[in-house]
Amino acid sequence: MMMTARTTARKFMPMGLLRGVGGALLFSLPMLMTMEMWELGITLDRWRILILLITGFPLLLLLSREIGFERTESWYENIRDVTISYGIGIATSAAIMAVLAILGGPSSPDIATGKIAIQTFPAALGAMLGRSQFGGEKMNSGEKQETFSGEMLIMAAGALFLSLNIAPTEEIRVISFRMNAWHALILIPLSLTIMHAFVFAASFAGGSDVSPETPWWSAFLRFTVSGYALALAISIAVLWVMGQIDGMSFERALRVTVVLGFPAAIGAAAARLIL
Amino acid sequence: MAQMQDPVSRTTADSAAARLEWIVAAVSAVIVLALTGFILYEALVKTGSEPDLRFTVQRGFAMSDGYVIRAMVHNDGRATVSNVDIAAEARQPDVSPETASVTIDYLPAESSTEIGLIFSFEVDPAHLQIRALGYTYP
Repeated sequence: MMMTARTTARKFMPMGLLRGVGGALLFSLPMLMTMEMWELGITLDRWRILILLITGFPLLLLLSREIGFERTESWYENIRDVTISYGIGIATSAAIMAVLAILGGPSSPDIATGKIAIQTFPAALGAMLGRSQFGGEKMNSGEKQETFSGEMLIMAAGALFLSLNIAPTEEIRVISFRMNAWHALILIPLSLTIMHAFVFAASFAGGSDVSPETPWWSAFLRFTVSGYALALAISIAVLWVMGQIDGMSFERALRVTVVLGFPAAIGAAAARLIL
Repeated sequence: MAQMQDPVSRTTADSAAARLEWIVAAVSAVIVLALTGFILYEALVKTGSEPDLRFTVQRGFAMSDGYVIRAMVHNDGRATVSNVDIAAEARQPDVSPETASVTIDYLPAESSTEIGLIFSFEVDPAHLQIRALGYTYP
């Protein structure tokens, strides 16, 4: 039963690549057309970009194991899939930026490399989700049991998507400067409430280890609060990588984190419904 | 994978997994509560909404064209300001005074930014005066 699905899937390899490109575009086009990302490609410390690319690889690896259309894939196959996703990410970003005249002239190769490098991880994330999720190979998804770590990985992917798109912009800092502490204090329970609404909706989706009969506080603590803490952790990591909290005091950095944590939390919760 | 497990091993795996879930939930709850408490403390204790700008000179170095004084702008106050205009005047004996200026986009509260002020001659920090000219509230 599994073997037939596997061989069928292999025949559609070119389609998988095309879906990967589609996913890469969907994830990275907003960032590709954002001025701050071009500037970051020029000015950001190269080792921060390197940290993003290197820590992204095991994350995509775990995600590939979780949402790939088969659980029976070996580590080798998952490494291959993630490598292909990185390749799609690099190629797609470079091609689109070249067409949109963002890359700059041939006289500045390290600027072009920086711009491509910083776009690679979000595009690779999109490529991997595109190859696994879009299209017809979801026939096995109903048989897969959801695990807690799997759910957290999916939430991480959703949080990463929105926070990578929003973090480089100037607006995120402006919002945090204009908000005072009371705004931030309202934003935290608001984020938790909206997340929990998504979790509650996901409990009706079936195949989840949260059912409508689960006591609300159990689901709240295990999924909503955990997911929000995860979204906050991802937010502060992305903000740091993009150099958005450099020179800020700890309190200011926390303020920006709470602001970015709001869309990250929504992304995390929505990902559980969508993926 | 999970369907193939027999009921006994499944419950053992389930209870181990459930323990992990509750540990993660507990750590997350602590993080969220600590964050909320931190911001609440800030809201109650740290009032006042004006900036407090201060300059410290770090070092100077020569470029191919010009001499740079590297300095830090600190905002010790609780308000973030934007479009901060900074001017510096360098006075050396036997040389007419020279000014340099720079504008900072944002200077968050309780934070600092590094700036570089460029002059055409080597400047002794003792003969350097830096001041902020104006800013806007974001």
